[in-house]
Amino acid sequence: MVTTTAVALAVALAAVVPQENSVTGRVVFNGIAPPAETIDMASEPHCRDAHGNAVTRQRVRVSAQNGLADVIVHVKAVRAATPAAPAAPVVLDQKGCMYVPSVLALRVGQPLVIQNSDPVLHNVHASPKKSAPFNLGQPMAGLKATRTFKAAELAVGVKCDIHEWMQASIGVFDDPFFAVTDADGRFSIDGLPRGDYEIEAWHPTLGLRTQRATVGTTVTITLGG
Amino acid sequence: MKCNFALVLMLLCVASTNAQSSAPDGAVLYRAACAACHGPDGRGPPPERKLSVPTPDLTDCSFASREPDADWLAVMHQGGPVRAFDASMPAFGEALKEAELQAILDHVRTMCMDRRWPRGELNLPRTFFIEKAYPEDEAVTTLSIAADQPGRIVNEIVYEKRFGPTSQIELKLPFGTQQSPLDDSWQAGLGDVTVGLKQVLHHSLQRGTIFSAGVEVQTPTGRTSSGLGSGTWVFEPLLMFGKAFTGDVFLHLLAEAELPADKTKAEREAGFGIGFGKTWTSGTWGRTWTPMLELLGGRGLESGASLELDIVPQIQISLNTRQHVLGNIGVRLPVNGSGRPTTVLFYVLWDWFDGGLFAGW
Repeated sequence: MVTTTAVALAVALAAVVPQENSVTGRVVFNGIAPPAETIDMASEPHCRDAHGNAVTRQRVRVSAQNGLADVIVHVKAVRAATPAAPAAPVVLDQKGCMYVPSVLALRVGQPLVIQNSDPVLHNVHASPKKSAPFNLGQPMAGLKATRTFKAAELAVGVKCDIHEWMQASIGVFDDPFFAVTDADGRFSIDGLPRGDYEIEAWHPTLGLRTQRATVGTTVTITLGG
Repeated sequence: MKCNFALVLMLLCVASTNAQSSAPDGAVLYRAACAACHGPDGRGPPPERKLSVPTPDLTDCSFASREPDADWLAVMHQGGPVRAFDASMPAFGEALKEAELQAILDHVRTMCMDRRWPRGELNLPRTFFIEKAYPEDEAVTTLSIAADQPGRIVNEIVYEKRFGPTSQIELKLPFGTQQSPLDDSWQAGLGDVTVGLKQVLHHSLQRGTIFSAGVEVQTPTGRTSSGLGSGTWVFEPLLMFGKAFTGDVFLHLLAEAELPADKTKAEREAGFGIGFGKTWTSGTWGRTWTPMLELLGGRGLESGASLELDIVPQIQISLNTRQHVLGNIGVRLPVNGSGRPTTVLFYVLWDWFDGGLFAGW
């Protein structure tokens, strides 16, 4: 029990205490978050029933502590050896007629697995400007397809033409120095050489913000307002 | 609602089971993969479905019968952009097997209930001279340059419009330029305008055959003094036959007569044409290349006239992604007789029903 508690404490501390080779921080929201939008899923009874009758989408997800979720954070122009793109895929799921997650990030060349968990037709229509666009029909649950992007881009838009409320954003980077904020707006980017860097933070609705940060410190980035 | 969900699951299970054990069920697969956008009956999505681009009515025979399976399968497999259609039509080539796509298409083909419309498979590549049996919505501009008669150039514009399942009207407008051998001056003007009517008499997709009859009336609109007109009305009855073989090989046959109203100004003639060719496709879905050969024969109906034979080797190439604009280049070579020039030929064909001339590149 003592060992377990110690490990848990260490993990918790690691999450909040800046490491020597990392930039950690939070993205916070400034302003009044827009109200959740109601999604009319009448055209898709399966998905409507899976959610209950009141389906909503929150384009700007703000925590009780004002943390902003779904922000892609990237440390720019890092002079360090860039490891090969991971072979492990990033998964974009279609579940309950929603993209899960709706904001994600991956490396150039890293596999993106697109899967359908719904027993209804979805199409995954991606419109990158620097890679080949694609639009895949997935009419049954359990179908999977894999794609990669050949160039960095912030961000690639993904939509389902059948369910207009389904939209996702994919950040594509040619280095590993990126993260997506969690529900409380937190992020941690490791493996950085000492120095000052420019950090960009991008949100699908709120747009882009850049600011300087020093490795080993904690940074707060404000979006909105 | 749960019952509906269970029913959909059951249908999908049936589709999956069928795909594994026997021929796929096109109707079930259509409901799973297509009905959301094209509607359960092919007439379009339900009102609550908001699509950015309207979908075509698959029950409209005028739309649904024109293109061959190969074009439909290209779009179903690769998505709309493979034929320069809207990108919102997704690609199903990874999600469904080719046999399943074919089964869906076979089901879609049942939505046009009027069997009088000949299928697009019978719309064989167009040669320079042999009128094809399939009724079309096309515009073709052909340039003819007499190789051994410098200064003799004819440009003919043909406009064809289909009406009903099996009929077509057409208008031919020839424009010619000719350099006078006497003073090197140039003569230019309109030639003899022709109007025509074509009627399909029989067609069979199973046998790959189509048979049509037509009549053309050539009007004396061209100046005879410039060599651009015959100076008389000419009636031209014609019979056309087309056959599609496996492997994208095809055959055209034509029999025709030219019957001038004034026999002193033009000769009565009978003619025939035999054309054949084969289409190759770059990759699986790409540009088409169709080398063809025409053998043309004509003989005056007056006693003592001899049969004149020409051959026309040519190659037709699809020019744009949608493949509704095509080019053809060839040469007409007299085989026997004299007085007929060797002619270099070019045409650009625009299948205007499929989109604008500058669309789909």
